[in-house]
Amino acid sequence: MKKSYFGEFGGQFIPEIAMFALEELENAYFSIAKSAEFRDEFEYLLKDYAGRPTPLYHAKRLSEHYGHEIYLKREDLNHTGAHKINNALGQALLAKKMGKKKIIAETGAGQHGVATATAAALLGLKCDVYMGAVDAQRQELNKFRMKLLGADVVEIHDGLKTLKEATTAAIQAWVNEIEDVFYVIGSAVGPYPYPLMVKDFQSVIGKETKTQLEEKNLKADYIIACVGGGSNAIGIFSAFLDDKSVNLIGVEAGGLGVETPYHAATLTKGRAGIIHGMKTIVLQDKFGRIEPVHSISAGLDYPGIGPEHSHLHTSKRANYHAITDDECINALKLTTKLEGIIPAIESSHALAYLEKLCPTLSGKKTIVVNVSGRGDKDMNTVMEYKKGTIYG
Amino acid sequence: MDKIAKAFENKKANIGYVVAGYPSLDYTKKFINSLDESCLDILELGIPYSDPLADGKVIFEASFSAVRSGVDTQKVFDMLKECKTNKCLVFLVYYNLIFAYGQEAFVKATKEVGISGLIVPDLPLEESDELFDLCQKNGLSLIPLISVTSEHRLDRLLEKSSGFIYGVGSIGVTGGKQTPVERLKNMINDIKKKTNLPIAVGFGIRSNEDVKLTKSYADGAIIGTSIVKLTSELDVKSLLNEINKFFKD
Repeated sequence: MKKSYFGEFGGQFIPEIAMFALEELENAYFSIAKSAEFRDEFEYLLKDYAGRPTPLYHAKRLSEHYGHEIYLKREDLNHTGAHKINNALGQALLAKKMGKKKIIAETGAGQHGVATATAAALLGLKCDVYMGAVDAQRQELNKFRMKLLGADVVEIHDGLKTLKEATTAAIQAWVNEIEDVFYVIGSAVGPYPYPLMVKDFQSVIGKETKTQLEEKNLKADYIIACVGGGSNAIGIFSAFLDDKSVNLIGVEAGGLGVETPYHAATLTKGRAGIIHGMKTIVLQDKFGRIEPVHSISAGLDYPGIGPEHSHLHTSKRANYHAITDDECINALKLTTKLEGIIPAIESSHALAYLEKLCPTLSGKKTIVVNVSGRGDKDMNTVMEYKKGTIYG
Repeated sequence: MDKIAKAFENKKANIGYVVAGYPSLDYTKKFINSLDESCLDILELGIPYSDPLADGKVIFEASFSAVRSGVDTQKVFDMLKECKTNKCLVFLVYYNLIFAYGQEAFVKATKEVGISGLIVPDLPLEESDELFDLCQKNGLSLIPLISVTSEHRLDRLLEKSSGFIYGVGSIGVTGGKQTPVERLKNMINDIKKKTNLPIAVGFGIRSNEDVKLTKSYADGAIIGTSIVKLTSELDVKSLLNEINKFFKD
């Protein structure tokens, strides 16, 4: 198997012009980012700047409600409000050490854009963030935060004006300035070595969770995380991949239902193909044209998925399920009422799966849900939500 | 002699690009059937794709528009079965379209409709072994894109090259600003030292002056964006007139 692949997925499917930049990145990642000096600095930033470790919280009332022990990994308590800061700090720090002056990023829900703009401000780098015009509208607060942090937000009006188009535009912008700019990819997607590197920078979630479970003398039966590109999921799964007794569950965006055309349930409905530089499972038509996607969640609204998730899916090491917009909103409201925690719409997909999973389990199980981000950014969407709304 | 070699025989090649099915399949068919009257030696025919990563706004929108009007890979093959030209045709096609069709089936169908080569802008050397072998087996060229950033990869790239070399004239997507000519000349000199394949330059070439300058150091000039822009404005005959003006000596 090629080093750039996870099983049959991964690779490098980008224009020749950008290949030298991937080679440069690969070399820098394995020399600079693996060095003890880099790790010390990165860990310091994660701890003293981002606020790690995040707690593994025993959600007592949700546990009572579902009849199982529910633990929430509180990535929402990170600085800037989501797990995205882990990866943004890692990549921006690497960019700085490589001597780059400018970074660019794509964003859907805005959390990766905010995290990248934050890291750029901290490290004194210029920053452009590409965002679909529809997402910019539904995540106006995050757009404002990015601007306040000094980033230029470039709104994309192509296609459905969401994450897919923002990613394509960011790759094109990267290619246009390929000799000087570092592209901070926000999820475990894209050409090698990005999926590997993003997993590395997000693996702190899994390592902490494992240690925290051990401290509580617990063993997880299930770990649940939402998947769009899948960075929070691969981050928490990473420490448990070899422990086959832990069931890994990824939850994707079912939109108005996977039986309708309005969803972003890639693993449920897609098949192998190529998107944004990687071979992975993709929502596409018979001829390979990428299908439009739909979700209430700007962060999960993506027709592809990280290649390692495609591998975990086909090898059956992890199981993936779809949750509808409506089920997601119900879970968001339930978690808020019972625990006083308002999760992001993305994370609410993972929480919603409890409703399906818990009744099927016998005995008392220990279930960890990764609350990848907080819901402040989503209040307008929640306020205006009506069942059956088509986004985009 | 194959059609690609013939296009470069004793002359500098004129190469144009259009998106198949834009503004309509009928338009493209008429255009191809009139090619013999034009000065073009090679026509790159883009199979429309929903996500043409390497293309700038003009080609991106033309491609997206053709996809939305229902043009798919099969319809492009079917159209070509009804076309007749003595000129050399090559496909510019994104890899997912080949992958979805099935690599072997795609290569065979391509050969059957009279196409001489493939340009796959998102398939770098590292991923091209299987397609390269299939093309070799079926007598098709897999034309590589080589840019000023390819310097240390040249030997490896040229091992898997056939037909002609597509020299990328700008750092960026199609329709962008051209790389300084001195840098391009150096790139071409480096390539020439290592291969006998002809080298045509595309990306960033938009006028007759650009074509003349490009032909002064390369074996051919490729115009894409400027032609695609005109396909939405002109009938086939007028388009061919404008193309002749772009390439006139």
